Amino acid sequence: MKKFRVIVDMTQEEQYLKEMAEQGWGLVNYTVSNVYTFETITPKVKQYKIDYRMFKKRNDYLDYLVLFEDSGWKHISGKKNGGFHFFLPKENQNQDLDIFSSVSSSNARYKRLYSHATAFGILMLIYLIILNPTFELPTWYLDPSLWKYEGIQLFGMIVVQTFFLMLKMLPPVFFLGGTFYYAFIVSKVKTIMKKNQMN
Amino acid sequence: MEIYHTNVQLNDIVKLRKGINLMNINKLLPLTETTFYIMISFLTPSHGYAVMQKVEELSKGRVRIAAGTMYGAIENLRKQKLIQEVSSEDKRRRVYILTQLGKEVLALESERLKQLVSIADEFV
Repeated sequence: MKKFRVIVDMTQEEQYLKEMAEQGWGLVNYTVSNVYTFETITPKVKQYKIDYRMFKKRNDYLDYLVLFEDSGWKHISGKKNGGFHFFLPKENQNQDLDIFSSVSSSNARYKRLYSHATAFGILMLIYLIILNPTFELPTWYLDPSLWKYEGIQLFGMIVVQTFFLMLKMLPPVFFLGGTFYYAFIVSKVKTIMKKNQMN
Repeated sequence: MEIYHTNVQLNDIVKLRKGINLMNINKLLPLTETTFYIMISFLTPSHGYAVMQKVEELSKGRVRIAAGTMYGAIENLRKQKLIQEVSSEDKRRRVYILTQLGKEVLALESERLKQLVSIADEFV
């Protein structure tokens, strides 16, 4: 089963994955495009733990994975530059433990998510400004040369015009959407960080 | 008059630099109990998991560091230049050792703790 979910609150997400496993859905992976893949399993309690981290070097990532492996955690899903990493305790190890033993290190994953989302958001905004889109949608159809055609030919020309219009609008719409997407994540992470500081 | 003026500025800059160094070290102190144990463990070249085990042993099982916290602690100590990477045959695990600055910070913290203990002995 595939499921689209944007992760921000990692504690809440750990709970969600636990409930899914209790209903017989085991996590297979989570992609950069926010899509979960689940497989059917025999329902049981699984204490998923989520970390957020990106790695500059291949060896840094390997060191990270081996440290968790040595400490009794199984890496279920995650990529070098994927951000989210999902862990499960190995048999008879870490059953009621967390991957963090301090509040500050647990909160630090939100700080990383926050700074990445801010950087990506600004990048999207810069691309949008560079493209400098002019939303001149109606004028494309008001071109007199288009209306010289009649019937099926006119219909064909409108289809062609629409196709080129969409081709032209796709990149700015993508970057506009991206800017809003990261702005949404940044604001949500900020709320969680504020909440965590109060506790 | 000009020369005098320049001297004053230079002195100010030196004072400022000293101030920054002092501020940086003061920012690091006091160490958390966990950081103290981790730094003690890095006196000998070690990888993250070895430190986790060493800390548990030194604290008689009282302080247990989880993997995610350990990885973050190494990252922070590296940024603060308190530990540095050393080459090792194990390509899968990065090995670090305490730097000179790390040793100085540990010594300062040790002094601070001794003072606390002597006060505690006197009053408690």
